[in-house]
Amino acid sequence: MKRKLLLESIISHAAIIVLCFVWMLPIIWVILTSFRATPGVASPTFVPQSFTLQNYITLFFPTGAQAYYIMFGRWMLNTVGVALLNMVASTLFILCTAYALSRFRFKTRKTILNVALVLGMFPGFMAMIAVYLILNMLGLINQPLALFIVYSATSALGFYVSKGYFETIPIDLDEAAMIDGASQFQIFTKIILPLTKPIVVYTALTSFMTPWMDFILASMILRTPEQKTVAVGLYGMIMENADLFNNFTVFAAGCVIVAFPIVLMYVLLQRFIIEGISAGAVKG
Amino acid sequence: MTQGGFFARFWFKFTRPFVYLTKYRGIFSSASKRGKAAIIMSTICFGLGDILINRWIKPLVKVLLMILFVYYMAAVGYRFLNGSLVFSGLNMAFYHIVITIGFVYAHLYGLFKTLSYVETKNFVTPAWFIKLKGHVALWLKAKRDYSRLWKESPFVDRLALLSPFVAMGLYQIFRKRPIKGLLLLAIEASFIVYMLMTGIYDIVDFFLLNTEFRPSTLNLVYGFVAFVIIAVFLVVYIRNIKMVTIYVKDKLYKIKPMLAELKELTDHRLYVSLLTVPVIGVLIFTIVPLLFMISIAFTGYQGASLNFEWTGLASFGNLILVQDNLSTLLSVIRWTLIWAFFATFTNYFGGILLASLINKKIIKLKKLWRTIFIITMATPQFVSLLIMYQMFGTQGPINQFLINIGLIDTGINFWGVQWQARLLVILVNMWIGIPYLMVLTSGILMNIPKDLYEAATVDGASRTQQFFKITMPYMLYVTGPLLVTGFISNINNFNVIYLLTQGRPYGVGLINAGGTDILITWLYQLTRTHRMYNMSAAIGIIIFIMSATFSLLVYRQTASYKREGELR
Repeated sequence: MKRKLLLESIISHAAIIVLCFVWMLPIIWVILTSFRATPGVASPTFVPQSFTLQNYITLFFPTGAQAYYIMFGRWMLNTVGVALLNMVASTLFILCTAYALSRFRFKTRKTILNVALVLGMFPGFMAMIAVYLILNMLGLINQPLALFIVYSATSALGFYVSKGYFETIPIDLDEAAMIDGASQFQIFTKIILPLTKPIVVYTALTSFMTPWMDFILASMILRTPEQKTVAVGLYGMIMENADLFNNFTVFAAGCVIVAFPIVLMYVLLQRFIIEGISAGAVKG
Repeated sequence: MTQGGFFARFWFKFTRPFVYLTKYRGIFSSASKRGKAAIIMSTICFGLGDILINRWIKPLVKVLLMILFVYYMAAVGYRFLNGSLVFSGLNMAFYHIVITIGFVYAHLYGLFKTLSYVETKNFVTPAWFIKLKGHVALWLKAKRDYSRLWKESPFVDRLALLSPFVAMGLYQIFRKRPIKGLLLLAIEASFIVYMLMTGIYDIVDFFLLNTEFRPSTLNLVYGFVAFVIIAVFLVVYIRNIKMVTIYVKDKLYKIKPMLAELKELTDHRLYVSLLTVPVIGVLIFTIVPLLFMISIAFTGYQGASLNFEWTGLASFGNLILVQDNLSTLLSVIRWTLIWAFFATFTNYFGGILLASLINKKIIKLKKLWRTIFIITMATPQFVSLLIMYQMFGTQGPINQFLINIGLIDTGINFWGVQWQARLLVILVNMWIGIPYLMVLTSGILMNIPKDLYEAATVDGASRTQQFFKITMPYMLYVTGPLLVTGFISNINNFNVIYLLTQGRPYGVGLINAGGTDILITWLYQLTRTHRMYNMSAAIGIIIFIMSATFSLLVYRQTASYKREGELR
């Protein structure tokens, strides 16, 4: 029996190590490539023969032709700015919507829920041409600010996870507070929000991530190199320009710089992320 | 879960129409006149008889389907069979047979429904109709009450009753609530000014569409903005009429001062203040744009010209009736469904398997393994997708590895062959999605009661048996809706396809579409590269219809749908 257990343990551990290897492989490759001295995608060996920091330097201080389209510092600033603004506004909107729909019973509640459900069935960027036109009317084309406006204005539709989480907080708490004379606003801010800290953190985190991940809208609105976000900028470095050969290792360096803080945040805030994701799962 | 296996239930449901066919004569002879008529009608036309059994919407849809089917048969269907009409690259005779069998079965199923209603005398009026009747009755009563109030009122009160129709807020000012009254008056005044200045013209231009003063696209946007403003104003206007009527009817009813009403907004009407800004945002940046795009599908918006006309259903016709377009549409839809199916299920089961592997009792360093997968999850999708594309490229490390171990001489172009590219897309999607599903299912896995497993072990069930008999059914029960939402979001999964392949390889016999294009990326290509805005809007509507039917069919069966509303 003991030998059987040992065997099972060895097999399970071997399986998990192989899986981890498969999953880490692309990441390891990017990191190695970002330090590689020879340019281009192709490299005779997986581990580069010589290492350099030049790619990171080129990223921030490009020279020659690259100086015209690589503006990584600006891209980072744009993205961080939009991300921070969006984090505040979207979190506020999502939590307000979710709270109103989970705690109050009013005439148009069912309608709002149904409309949100139907809106979710339309392909996301179908409306984007019209969004472009509206932003054009407002004179916001080719400005990162436009991204913040669109992200936060449409964020409320992502209320489902938080709504489900609010519903797990027993209504007795509200009633007790009401008897003590608290207004609904006080109940929301002083009682419910502190109790739902994980979902607040999770919502803030996902809102912060939106501008880092979004590609379609950003690529449509942002045109000139100095206005791009990192997603659009990095994509342009290896896709629209033909100079894949010279750009690729620099691109890899950019990927590492973008991914590093995000990964760090995920690892540090693991608890909240796991809680948030599983809250979204048990809607059924 | 207790009513036997999934397949047993499915088989039972599937064969029911045939079982009922054998009872046809018995039910028919014992039915009432109305029942007999319903059965005859359902025999002739798909679902028609249900109208006699107090059902309206479904029969209407079914009759519409019947008309479509008959039209299809008369127009093209038979020509597929004898081979006089061939679509490039598609075995249309096969599609035709599938459609015909499907329709015949659907007809039988409709007949069975009618028969079972007649047999059980289940002529129940549906809930929504009772609700509608209630609304109408309430409305009639309100109308009666209003006319009685009018007759009984003295002249001054009649003036008061009339005032909100003419000018909002007059009555409130008269009753010494000047701030409120002036506010309402200002709303009405600005609405009238807006309508006279631009509103009316916006609406006229919306219908004319092709005007010289400004591009048709702007006509559409301004038109919808005008519609929204009018709708919002009407809501305020009608509410005000209602309120004034109540004030006049019941003199003791105090009009709340502005301050009290503002204070309510932080208390039991808090939801209004919470929802206002988000709803306005969604209205401007989601609903108006969507309405715009839906209407684009019915116009001739194509190419660089911003001036176009209403063209009705022409772009749908163009999509379905032009042979090459239809064959592209069908093959893209087919790949979209295959992709969504595999992407959803591989991730779902992969995630559960991985989670149960990590959560095994004997596994050491659980936290480390989980963190590693969280790292891959946290890597921004566009980074990992662009990297994956290069990894499998002709010069990428995968090919390099194969060359180094001497398996091949020159790099294989993985993305150049349709089936390879498709397989890779699904595999890469597993890489992206499984860690997420792992995190998602871990918590639920740990909630499965441990004694279930202990009991199974005592009974001598193997690990594999336990997985399929305990873990999977439990997970499916709890996270079933997730499969539905996952399927729909994969139908719309733009990022994975576009950032990996941009729809490549091209030149596989499709019009403006590549070998891995799903509907949504095809839509994107048509918009960005080919500027066929009306066609892409039509495709968008088709995507909507697909996901809407699918989720309606499945969602209504799930517990969460049935439970919503009984929460409290």
